[in-house]
Amino acid sequence: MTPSVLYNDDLTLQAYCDGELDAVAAGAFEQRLAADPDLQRRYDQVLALRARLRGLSEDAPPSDLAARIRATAGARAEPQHHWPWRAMAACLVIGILAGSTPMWLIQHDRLSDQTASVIIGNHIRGALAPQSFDVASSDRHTIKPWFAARVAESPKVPDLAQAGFVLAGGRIDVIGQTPVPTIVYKHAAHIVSVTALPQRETVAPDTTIAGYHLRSWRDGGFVYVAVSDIPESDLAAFAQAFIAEARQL
Amino acid sequence: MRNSDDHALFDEVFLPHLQEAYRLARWLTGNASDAEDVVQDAAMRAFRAIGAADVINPRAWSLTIVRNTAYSWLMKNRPKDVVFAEDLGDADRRSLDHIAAERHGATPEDAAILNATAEEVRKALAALPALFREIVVLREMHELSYREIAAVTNLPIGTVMSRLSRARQMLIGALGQVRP
Repeated sequence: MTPSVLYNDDLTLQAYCDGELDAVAAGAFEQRLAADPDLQRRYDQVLALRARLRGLSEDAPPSDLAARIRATAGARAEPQHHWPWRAMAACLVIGILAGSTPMWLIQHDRLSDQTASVIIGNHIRGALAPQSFDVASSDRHTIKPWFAARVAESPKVPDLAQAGFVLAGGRIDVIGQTPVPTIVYKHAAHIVSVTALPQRETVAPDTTIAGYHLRSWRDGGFVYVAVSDIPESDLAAFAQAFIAEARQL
Repeated sequence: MRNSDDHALFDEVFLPHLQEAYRLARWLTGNASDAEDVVQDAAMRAFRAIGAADVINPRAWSLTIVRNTAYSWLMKNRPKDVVFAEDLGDADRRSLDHIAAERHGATPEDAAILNATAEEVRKALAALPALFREIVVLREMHELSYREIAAVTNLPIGTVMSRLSRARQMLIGALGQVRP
């Protein structure tokens, strides 16, 4: 049987399922949901449908599509990986100064521009979305297991509240075909996203793309990439705090 | 020859969303080779527009271009697939709802949705009229918010909500019918 649900109730239900209700409206709706079996049934149907739709496999675009598009758009046929020389030099100096932290030492291979671009894209998307994470928590003991349930290896999730960066939550981003964990911190009105890439990725010198600063380092089984629009010096402080705190874990 | 800023901007704004662009085109056109044509065409449009565009949300901007390109493609190649809501009379709307409701009436359990094969789910989605299908795809596959869907489709949020509700009802009805 089709549950007899009024049209307006149905719209509220859809909005609830889609995370579009504010906390007060969602709370009120949950009470109604608990008391109304028809509504509950419709809710189950919408969620079952979602599970099926999201479970469908998707064809990836042909691997050479990007190259062909570049060619037809008259753009460069090959992506040019060029990190600015000045930034590379600066990074080398930092690397030498911070001799005790070999992860800063410059690597000849780089995080690809494409990956950097996707990471920044994810950060921007996160900053624009009603919430920038899939799981909201200021408790690292909640976020870490949440990652562990979704990706093969769970990154370190240090609590950096002491350093002024409050843990806000975590989400899974997708780079190419690989799901990667991203930790989200809040710093005043700003967001810092830390994406943990698999070890095979390489550390890039600090860079700035479209106003977003990007800083990466290697630690344990991951290459961590932090992105934010906070000042570069603050992001550097963030990275230091993250590394120091992660060592304790 | 375009200046290199446009190329860089294009690389930064459009290309990171290529996979999503392709996925949307795939659902809107229904097959791989047409999806590829649409994405290529959309990329050209994006490249031409990018110098003058003030792109705030690169992902939504890219998907909007792909969506519009796919619609132009559908109008040209499969005009019958594109039924606009304005063209649906009240009677047609009622009958769409009615069919969905009736089909659903045949199933005792919501479990039917879970039991449907992936192929059945895929077919049910592909069978939705394009204007309903796109809303479901943008919401469930691309996980866009109502506001983002409204921006991409250039529809009021209220219309997005009502189409999404109706599209889901039709899918639930169609999948409910699969396993009586």
